[in-house]
Amino acid sequence: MTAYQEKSQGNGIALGRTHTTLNEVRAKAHHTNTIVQKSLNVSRARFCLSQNPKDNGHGVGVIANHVARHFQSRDASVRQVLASLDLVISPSEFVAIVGKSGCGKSTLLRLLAGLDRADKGEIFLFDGVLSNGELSDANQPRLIQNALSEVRIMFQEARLLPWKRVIDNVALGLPGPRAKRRDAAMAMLEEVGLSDRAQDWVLTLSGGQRQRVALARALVHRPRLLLLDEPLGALDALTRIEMQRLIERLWRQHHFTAVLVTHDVAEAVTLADRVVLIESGKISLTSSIDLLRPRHRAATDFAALEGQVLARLLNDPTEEGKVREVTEWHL
Amino acid sequence: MKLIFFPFFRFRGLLNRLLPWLVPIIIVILWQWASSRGQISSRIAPSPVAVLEAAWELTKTGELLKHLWASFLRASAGFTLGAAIGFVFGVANGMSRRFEILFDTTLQMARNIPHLAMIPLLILWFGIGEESKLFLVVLGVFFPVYINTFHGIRSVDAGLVEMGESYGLSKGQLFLQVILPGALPSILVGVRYALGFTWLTLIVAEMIAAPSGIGYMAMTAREFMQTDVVLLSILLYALLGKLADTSSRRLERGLLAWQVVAVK
Repeated sequence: MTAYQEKSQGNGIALGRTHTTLNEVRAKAHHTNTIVQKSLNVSRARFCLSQNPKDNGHGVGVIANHVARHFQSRDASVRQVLASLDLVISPSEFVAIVGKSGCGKSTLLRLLAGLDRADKGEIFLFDGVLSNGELSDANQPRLIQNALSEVRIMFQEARLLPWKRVIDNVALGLPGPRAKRRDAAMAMLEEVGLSDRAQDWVLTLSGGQRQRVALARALVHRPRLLLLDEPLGALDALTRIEMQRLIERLWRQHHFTAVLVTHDVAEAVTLADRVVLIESGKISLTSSIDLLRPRHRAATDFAALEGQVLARLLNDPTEEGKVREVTEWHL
Repeated sequence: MKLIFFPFFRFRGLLNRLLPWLVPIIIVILWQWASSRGQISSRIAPSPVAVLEAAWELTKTGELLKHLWASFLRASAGFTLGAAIGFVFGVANGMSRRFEILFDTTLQMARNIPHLAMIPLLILWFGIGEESKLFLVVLGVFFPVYINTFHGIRSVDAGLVEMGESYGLSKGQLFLQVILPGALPSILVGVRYALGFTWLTLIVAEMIAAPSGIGYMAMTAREFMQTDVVLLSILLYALLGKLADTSSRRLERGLLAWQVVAVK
């Protein structure tokens, strides 16, 4: 088994606050969502079994503990977007979050990016591997809002500054002297294959090129957690596949933890170690994708996994039996 | 082929440059023609040649330069001060809801007073000294700059601001690198309006209460029935206004180079 395959084995660990044991979390989860409970059980088993947890030191782990978020509309009615959601992401894991539009997946990502605050619950980052399913001081757990320099987000739109040249967009927010910042930006632009456009204005770039610049701008900060909010949604099919390959390559090189929100199940299965399905504010399915990388869409196991996740997403009754089977098998 | 067409293209470029001046030149020629045939009495409108002669006479005595300089100083001082105050208020009210609540109502009320209506009061306060002209120009320049700065800052793409914040920009960096450049196109529209207002205000103010300036020159000429000098003053205002507009366009082209690319 290659190191790469090992990576895709995944070892999700579930737990709560610093002083909360896994059992307590599990007990709470029992009331809210039995499927979550299942995933917590197995995750722990996985964790215990894993003799050689992948920890390369750069990726950071994420724990979302009973996270809730609601929005109040003008007529004072409250819409619960996330209801007591629990999620654990291992360091350097690639997690894809799928769900119907309006299910709360982008809301979750905004919480992870620190752009919004959760109404209830909290999100932690931690280093290294958890022992006995608990956070210890060795993991240096910290609230996400205190560790935002470790997190970078790539938005649905590139959100580049049109009045800055490509290279200065990439260097945005970097510390240090100007020459050093530009060098770092230039090196990153080379990695995304756009060094020849460094001096151009952003408005002369195509949509795909703009997203590549946005990716370079995110990665130049050497984030330990990269959040991707449907960044490829507006791209044409070919550019999209190119971008997916680029993102996968850079993830393998830089070892950051990645969380991708997407409505494209094929994209999720292509990139992720684990696909998480959110339905009405809760995680209703997590599915490990134990396929070799780079993955080929034409492969039968790929198509089968994609079909299963899609069927679950669409609540397709003809696929129901298969889905249950998969759920049992993966969770 | 190339050799034949090359001069043709160059000629076309030259033509495009000269074309805007075609209409003014034709008007001047027609005017000269009508005057020399005696169609227009020199009392009502002296010929362009007569106006040029008047300009030459006044230049020789140094009077024209003196008045031009006086007007220019007033215009630039008033514009700088008014634009600066307008910019500061625009930024403060654009960035902070609290400032907006505090000041906006007052400013909107003041905006609806035609600033030239203040002239009688200003003469009572300051006489015909420099303060009254400065005050008027500042007032005329303030509002277009204020409103466009405010609007520009409020219409900066919220997504870009959010991006800047999440990419670790400090408040100052966020303002200088995201908000201000985003508001700049709108601010420059305000500056162009303000330049127009500067001249408008100055003409009126100098005609009513001033010891010098082009407006003053026109009013004294009226008393001595020197129609040529009056016309000269009006033409000077037209030329100066055009100069101000051109320079602000140049400024726009320099500062908003990234937009020009997009138009191509």
